[in-house]
Amino acid sequence: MQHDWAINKQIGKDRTLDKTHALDQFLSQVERRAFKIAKLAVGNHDEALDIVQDSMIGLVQKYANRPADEWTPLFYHILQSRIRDWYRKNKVRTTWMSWLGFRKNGEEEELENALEALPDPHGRDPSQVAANEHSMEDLEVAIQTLPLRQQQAFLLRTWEGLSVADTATAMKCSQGSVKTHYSRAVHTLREALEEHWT
Amino acid sequence: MNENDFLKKVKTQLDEQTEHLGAATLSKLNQSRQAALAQLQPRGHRLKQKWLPASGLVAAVLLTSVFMFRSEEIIPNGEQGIDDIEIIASNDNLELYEQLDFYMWLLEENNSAG
Repeated sequence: MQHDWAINKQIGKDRTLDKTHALDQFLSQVERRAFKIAKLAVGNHDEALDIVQDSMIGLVQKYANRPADEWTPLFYHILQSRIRDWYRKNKVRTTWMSWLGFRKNGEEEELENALEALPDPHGRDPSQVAANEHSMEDLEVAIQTLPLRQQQAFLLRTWEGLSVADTATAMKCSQGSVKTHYSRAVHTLREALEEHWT
Repeated sequence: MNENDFLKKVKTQLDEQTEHLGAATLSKLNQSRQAALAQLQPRGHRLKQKWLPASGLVAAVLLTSVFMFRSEEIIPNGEQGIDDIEIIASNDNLELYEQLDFYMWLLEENNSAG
């Protein structure tokens, strides 16, 4: 016969396993989009990965016990905070670098140019690749040139499918602000892209 | 193109981009997810996991030190053993060693007489 504490311990273990499984599923569903959103915001692959990892850890540490349907806005709320933190740090760093007179190394620039000039490893038709990649590049560039708040409102609403209320929670602003940012973003993007896409 | 079609196209293109993130990026995302999920484990268990490699290293260093210390002690014993073997194996007359006191006394007598 099992004691009460042993039964409770087993129930606790089962709950932790269920929670781990649910969080694993949730994070694997959002991780790619979260990475892309972070990369569009900060423009750096490794920094974007770090931001996503911090956000995942933040969600698990702070909100694992909250109902699963709250995880999406909470996760994006953390992601937005991390992106804003990155902007603040980067601004300070850029200011210091410009004061100290640091510039990008010429050799690094040459290497990047050389890598871009390499042929496609999959041997695809260059014109097809160019058309497809141009289309994607145009979209990326257009999204990246949006002001950060418009960019994030647009991605969270259009791509992640968050409601206005959840987007407002994630962005820590009013629903009215979300609507304004979103409609401005859509207007700008349509102007920039529709001509190329039709 | 109306707004809905435009937004659908944007969504499709973004989805396509995430489908081709590359193995290295996907692996990093997976590692990040595992690191996040590890936060759910009890603190004691995480500490155990965290310190296990370090404690293994400490144990290995201790064992190596003990063996080195012991081998230093063993070397003189080994030399002593080798000396014994040399005496036993030599062709010298064992009587010489047995009557060593007598020879020592003889040497002292000679010195005092000289």
